[in-house]
Amino acid sequence: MTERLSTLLRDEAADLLPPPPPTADILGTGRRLRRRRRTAQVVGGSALAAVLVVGAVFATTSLHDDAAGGGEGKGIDPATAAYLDHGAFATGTTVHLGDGGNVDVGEKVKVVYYTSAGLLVRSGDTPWTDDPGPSHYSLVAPDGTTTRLDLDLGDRVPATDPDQPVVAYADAAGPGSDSWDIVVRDVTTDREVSRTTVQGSFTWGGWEAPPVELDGDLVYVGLDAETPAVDWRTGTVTSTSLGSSTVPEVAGGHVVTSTKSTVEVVDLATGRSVYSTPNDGYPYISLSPDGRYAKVVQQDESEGDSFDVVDLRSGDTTTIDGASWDFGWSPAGNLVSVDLKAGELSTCTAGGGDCSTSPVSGPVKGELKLAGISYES
Amino acid sequence: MTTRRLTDEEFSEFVHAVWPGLYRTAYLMLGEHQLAEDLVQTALAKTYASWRQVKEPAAAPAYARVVLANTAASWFRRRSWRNEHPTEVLPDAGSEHDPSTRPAVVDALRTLAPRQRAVVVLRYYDDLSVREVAHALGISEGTVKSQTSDALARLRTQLGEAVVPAHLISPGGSRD
Repeated sequence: MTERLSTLLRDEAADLLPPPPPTADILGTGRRLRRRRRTAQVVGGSALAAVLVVGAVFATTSLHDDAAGGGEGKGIDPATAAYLDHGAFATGTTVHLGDGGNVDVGEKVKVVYYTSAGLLVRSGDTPWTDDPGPSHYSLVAPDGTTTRLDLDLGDRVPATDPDQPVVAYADAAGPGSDSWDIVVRDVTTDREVSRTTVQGSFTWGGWEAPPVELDGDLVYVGLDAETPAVDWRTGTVTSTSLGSSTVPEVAGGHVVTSTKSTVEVVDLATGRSVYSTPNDGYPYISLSPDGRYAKVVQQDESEGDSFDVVDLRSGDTTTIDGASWDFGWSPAGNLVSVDLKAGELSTCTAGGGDCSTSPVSGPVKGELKLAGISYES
Repeated sequence: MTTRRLTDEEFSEFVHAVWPGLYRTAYLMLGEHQLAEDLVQTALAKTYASWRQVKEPAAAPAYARVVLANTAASWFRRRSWRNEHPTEVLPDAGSEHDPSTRPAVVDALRTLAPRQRAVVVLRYYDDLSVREVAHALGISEGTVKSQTSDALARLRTQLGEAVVPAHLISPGGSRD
């Protein structure tokens, strides 16, 4: 019998002195999670759609651990695990998946976005974003299953959230007007699920419509005079303090802001600064998809040898060797870079800086596009 | 406390009530105090976020424990987990009992793979059934049995026959 083992374990546990619970932090994180917590929408239809929906469920549960649901479907297939850990990138017309597989999308890849259903690949005649189009969109599931969406946005800045199977973008609500429809489309069904109108001029950027940022329920819209937040599930539009004429960097309820003397990461729910660095070195901050980590690059100090990653929860800093601009994020929050000459994909943990490499397979001709980076000019 | 409309004060009370127990489970699973605190904090934040899934207040602690186990399981799935968290030093918790035996159980746990360790803790510390462990970790009941068998075999080499008798370990690696 195992009573002795149980006794040993309980005796061990009994002697532990648990620290006091960080209740305020738990509540703060809980509020952010509650706002972000979503379940993939299951819509009937083709077998392909079913495959993609399954991918969405896997990705959603594993990325943010929607843990207490039913016991079914909690496993994770290798392709999805590789997608979460290693992300993806593209060269030319080829999308390289985290598990070493690759898919040719037939057009030059402009940008690769993360969603919970897989990669949203933007492609066209050139690899650049600032051409008049076409700018097509395809969904590439972690297993390589690919479907072209009925979407051509031209030179616009859409947004995705690695935790959700949707893409958000702005549409002109009318010719020459200052009204914009904020559209949210389910990439697994290729159907529009939300359209909300916001008012305000947009002249500061050269895109066809205001750029947007998506974090959970909220779509942030970069207008001339403000950055309103649209709750796309309820259609509510609220003002924010995120400034104007900008595309805010928002992830996991955190936003990168700046003052005269600092660049900071602020908790949107509380307004509390969770990280601050003097702007003497012209810092650039990139948040991990879940907002837990911040890649901090001191632009006038770094010659490309290394950069810091800050754990915004603990304050711990990890130094990663390598050129900062070569690294993007995987959906699970690892730092990913590609060395095409060496034919290697490097994956480094944000928390410890441990790196591993894996070979790149398939064609590697053309412009390199790391997933999760906007490549907007 | 209601399950549909929960005030921050009510949830704070809940946190204070369940924190020590969850922390102990987390520590036994992970073997490191800071990681244990991080795990429990994450699990309780998720519990707060998905409170509507709690059917009744009395079920909330068990629900939080499932969230904790599933969160740990998601950590274990990451390829980098073992690189980030290699075998550690002895625990820093004090002991008033037999010093020749007590550190050994934590040392022995550290020889197990992360999921095996979680299975052992949930089954023999938290007294969960095979089905409950499978649900909590998101794995099949067969995997729980085989992982238990493998883990006990290894623990027996560490802790001896008196703690883990050989007859508990089936030749085929399956034990209920």
